[in-house]
Amino acid sequence: MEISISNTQFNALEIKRRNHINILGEGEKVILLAHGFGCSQNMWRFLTPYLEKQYKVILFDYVGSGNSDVRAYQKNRYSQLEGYALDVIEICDSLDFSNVLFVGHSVGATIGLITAHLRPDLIDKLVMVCPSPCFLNLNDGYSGGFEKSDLEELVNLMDKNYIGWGNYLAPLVMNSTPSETDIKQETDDALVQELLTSFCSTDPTYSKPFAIATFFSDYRHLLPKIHHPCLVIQSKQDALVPIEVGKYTQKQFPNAKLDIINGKGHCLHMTYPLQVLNSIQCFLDQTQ
Amino acid sequence: MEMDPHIFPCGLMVSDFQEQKILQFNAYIENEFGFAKDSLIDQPITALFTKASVLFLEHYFYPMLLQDGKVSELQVMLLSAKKEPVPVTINATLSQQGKIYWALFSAINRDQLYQELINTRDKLEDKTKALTITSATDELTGLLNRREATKRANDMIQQTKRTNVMLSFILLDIDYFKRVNDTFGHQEGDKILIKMSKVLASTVRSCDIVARWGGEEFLVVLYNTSIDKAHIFCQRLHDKINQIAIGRDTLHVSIGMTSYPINNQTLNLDEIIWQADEALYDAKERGRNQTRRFKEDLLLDKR
Repeated sequence: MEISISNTQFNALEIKRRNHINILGEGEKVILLAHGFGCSQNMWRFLTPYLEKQYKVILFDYVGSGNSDVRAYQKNRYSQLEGYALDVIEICDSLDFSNVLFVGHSVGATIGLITAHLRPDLIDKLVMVCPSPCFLNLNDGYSGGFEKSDLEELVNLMDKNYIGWGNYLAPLVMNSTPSETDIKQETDDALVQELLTSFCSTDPTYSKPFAIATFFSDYRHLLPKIHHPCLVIQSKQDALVPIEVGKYTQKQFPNAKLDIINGKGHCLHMTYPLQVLNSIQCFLDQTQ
Repeated sequence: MEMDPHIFPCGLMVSDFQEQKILQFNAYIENEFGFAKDSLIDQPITALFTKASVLFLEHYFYPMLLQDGKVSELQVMLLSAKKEPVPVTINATLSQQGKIYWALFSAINRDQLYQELINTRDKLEDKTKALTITSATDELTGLLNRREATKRANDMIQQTKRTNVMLSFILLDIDYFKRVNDTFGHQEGDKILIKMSKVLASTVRSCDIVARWGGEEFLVVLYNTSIDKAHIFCQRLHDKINQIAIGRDTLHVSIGMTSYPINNQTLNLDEIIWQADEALYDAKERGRNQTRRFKEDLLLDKR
């Protein structure tokens, strides 16, 4: 199915409700935070207290995730990542934002990549936290880390256990807001933190198509086409994204920097928020 | 009497939560999955499961254990000593001392049943999808049929009550279509309808409605579009449709349009369509191949 780039003048209030948009801070520069698969805008809460001091921070949930309005869910649209990118495009258009700093986690970063391709005007710079342009090992020599059968089995396990990746972890994630001291000790309890924050999601009706779109897609071909300044933040030990994938992603971009954070897990923005912030700040200073 | 854990027909295992290593297990695990005695002691728990299952354990099982202290009826794939995947069902608890107590048994039949259920559900979903499309589509043109267009237009009208959105309704009727059929035959007439539909479908946006409303009559509902913008849209339609050839002539249409809501008036779909139809009638009266807007005075003319 082809998804056309939106040229519709959507009602801004409608989009705000649909994607549960929250705007924090008063800064001039707009920063858009895009969550990954099985997550919601909640995942950014360790970064936002710092970001909102300098920026206007836009938080949102894709339709089918978090507190979005699931009445707007269309299976066709959200069975491919372009549908999620269209959410981003419509959000920017409805709020009349362009040239934003886009920060995406995991598949959220890939969604940013697609957005930058479809609507280069909307994005100024692209920050990708633990991105993978393709999770599959392919016979052209690329190793995304997983055989197709592994990922098929993963989706099958989701089906058989009838879950949308621990949907009931959401309240727990919301309850565990860390204090300043917690964040300072961020590396100490990284394992527990990572586990507690790993996945929270919605109904399998919505998460299964998202899982399939996430795990079986291949957007490597877009990387060389994106000339925006990009930052790839890679975890040293990530079960979902091997370090080689981070290196590959950086090399394929015409204009990208790679920061490897000496940590464990796939949610660096939650387990090492200060290091992620620092990395973003350095990147912004260097690319000014 | 002391119970011997090795006589139970289910796998019992103890592992360490932090280290993620196997500490103890019973004879069922050795016998059922082919492991030599004590061979699993101190092995990482990941050695016992497939790659997908390990991801699943990390992102679902462990967080749930941390939160609730227990997990029940989890189904994953265990790797036997011969590296063959075996479906197992797991119950587990996490102790205060950081030990995980596992109870598991192979679930080959249960897994087959689940697989059949999933296959059946997928098949049903596919069938429903196909049927939904069929029941919503006009067979000849592939546009929405009248029933589906009515449903969607009613939804849009409902939406205008909540939001400040203007809808424009456009009724198109092919001029002298009967003549086309009489002169060139019904097959040729069908081809014209298909060409016409392609023009319509390629001119509207994804948020609009475009449907075959009757024989040679079409309905377009433009979302969030004022009557003036709709008029420009209709002019573009005339231009495109006038390029469709029939014999030595070209195709023409008459268009009637109206907008909703106007002056906070509440109307139902029938009433709105009636307005567009009146405007269409006016366009035909005035010599066809043109667009007319509905105006209140159309009513007065008639009285």
